[in-house]
Amino acid sequence: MVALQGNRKLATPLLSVQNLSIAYRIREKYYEAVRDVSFDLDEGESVALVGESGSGKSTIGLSILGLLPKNARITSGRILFGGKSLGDLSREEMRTLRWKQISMIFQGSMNSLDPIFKVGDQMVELLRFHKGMSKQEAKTISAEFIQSVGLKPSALDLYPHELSGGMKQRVVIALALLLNSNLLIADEPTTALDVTTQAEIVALMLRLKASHNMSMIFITHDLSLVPNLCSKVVVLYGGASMERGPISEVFSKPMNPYTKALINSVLTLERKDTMPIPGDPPTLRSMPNGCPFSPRCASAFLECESVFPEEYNVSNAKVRCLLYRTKKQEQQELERA
Amino acid sequence: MLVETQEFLVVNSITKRFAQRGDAERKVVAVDNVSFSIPKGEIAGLVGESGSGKTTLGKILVNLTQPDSGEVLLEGKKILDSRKGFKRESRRGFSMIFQDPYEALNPAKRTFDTIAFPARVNGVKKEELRRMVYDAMRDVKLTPPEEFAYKYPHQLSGGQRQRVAIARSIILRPQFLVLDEPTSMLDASLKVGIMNLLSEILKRYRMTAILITHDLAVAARMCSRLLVMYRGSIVEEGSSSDVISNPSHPYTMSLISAIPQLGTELKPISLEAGDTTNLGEKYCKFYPRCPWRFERCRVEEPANYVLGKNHSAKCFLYTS
Repeated sequence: MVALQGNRKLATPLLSVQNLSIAYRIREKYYEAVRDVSFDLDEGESVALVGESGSGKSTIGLSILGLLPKNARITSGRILFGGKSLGDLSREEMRTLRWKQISMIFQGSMNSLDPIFKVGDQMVELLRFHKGMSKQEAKTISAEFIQSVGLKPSALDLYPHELSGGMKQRVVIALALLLNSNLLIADEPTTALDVTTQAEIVALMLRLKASHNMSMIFITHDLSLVPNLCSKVVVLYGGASMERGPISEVFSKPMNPYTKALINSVLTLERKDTMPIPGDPPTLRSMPNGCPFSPRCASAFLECESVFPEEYNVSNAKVRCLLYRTKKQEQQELERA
Repeated sequence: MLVETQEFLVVNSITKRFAQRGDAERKVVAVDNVSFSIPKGEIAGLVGESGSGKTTLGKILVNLTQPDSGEVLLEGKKILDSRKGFKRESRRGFSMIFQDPYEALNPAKRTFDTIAFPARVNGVKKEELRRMVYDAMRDVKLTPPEEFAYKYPHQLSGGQRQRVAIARSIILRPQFLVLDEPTSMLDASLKVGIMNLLSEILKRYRMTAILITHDLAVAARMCSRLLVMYRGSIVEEGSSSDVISNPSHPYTMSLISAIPQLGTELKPISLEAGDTTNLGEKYCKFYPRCPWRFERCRVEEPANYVLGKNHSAKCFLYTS
């Protein structure tokens, strides 16, 4: 990894997403689903992308893998992996990078297993294709991995429909880990599971993350799991990063009114003061002009409806909210405009 | 269990077995001799993991599945008998809200027609129908009704779709509602909104309900009483506060330990993989996974042990 060479160790993160904007074309018009999102991820580090449906979190995940749908394109910004811009890679280079370096657990991955192949065959195929292993070798490795996710090797001979939801999710995780990638993107890996299975999968992911020294992007709408798995968080809303920083800071002292509202909406056993966020999140085609949260925000003022805020530094976090703009910054922005 | 006359809904010894695929002789017991009762206007929570039989039980209560044995009484009158089936005239008083608002609505039907359906089937027409649909839409806060009435499901957000599904279930003002995971497919930020809405509607119309969920945090907030289900049996029963603050069955304890709490590390009680060999003829269903099992659990099925007022658990840890 470039990130580990010599003195540049600290200077080059494993993954660096810089001012990324992505738009979808719908009936000849472009709509921005991701707006000016930046974050860094060091080796062995985990970041959570948190947001409601339509906040752009899955789109960001797909863009890192180079798997955006045909009608989407990156309109500005770039993604650096190990210091290299992914946009400069050829399709062939991107294809080898995918799964070998960056793997992904897709949303609804319970349904992403091929129903007509046995679990073992799907794993063997991956190893043979990417690593050119012999069948026997690939089988041995597959058996090893299936045990590392807590399944018996006999599971390799089963078809996906013979597995329970939790077992399927374990297989999908085993597949994602099979090539020892440096970065795992997990898109809602526990959403369809019940709480007991969810807890087991979270424990499994923590263990594997430590043993493989893997970096992880954890995409979720459920804040409650985030502190268990990640050290950093990016809170997304309407495609924009509303607040980002260390978990300890963002969760204990949220700044952006959206982050506050989101944390207040989390349901736990003890909490009595849980409050839903009134209204509905914006859709691509109904995106407000200014701050995307302004129609639902209790602290919004007139300017919020027209100005898309920049990210402002507040201690170790970056907050996209006009409440945190200083007089001086306001002046500078005015001059630039 | 005693049949108390003041209870609104009484469920007596309901059992449902399913034939296993390819082997009609071997039956899977989905609901195993379940009895409970709910007082008028209360919400009972039926909690358990997938495959515990909670949805099957819910379907039996709204006549979508017939039980093999057992009966259901509504205000003392028998409305469901495993031999005679569900009393047709009682059916109108029962309704169900399903888990997935993306699948529960017909994509080719507009909101108005979706919500109007149960009323139309029962012969309501024109002005009266419109009034009922708009009232139901106001109840679920789809306002102004005119704005949503002619939209198709794909034009609605997940939360709005679930509101449409709720409006459809309450348009005939049923006395009893089965809520099957009404929030599990929704964004965390919308969950509480839908829960509050449901509580409000149930209270306003004094409806009695059973909430089926795998999430104890949801059940604890909405229900006065909890029934914890494991492999077709109710293993613990009590008021929400008793069950949450003093979980007694090992399965309930493991469920509670698995709920993520903001700011604290998740430390779930780890369950055994479940070795089902060498079980006795009768046994505790949780035996293979239980961290506190002992010999008796392998060869005998625990009875219901009373722990306090209306609080009981099926576990030998509580034999006196």
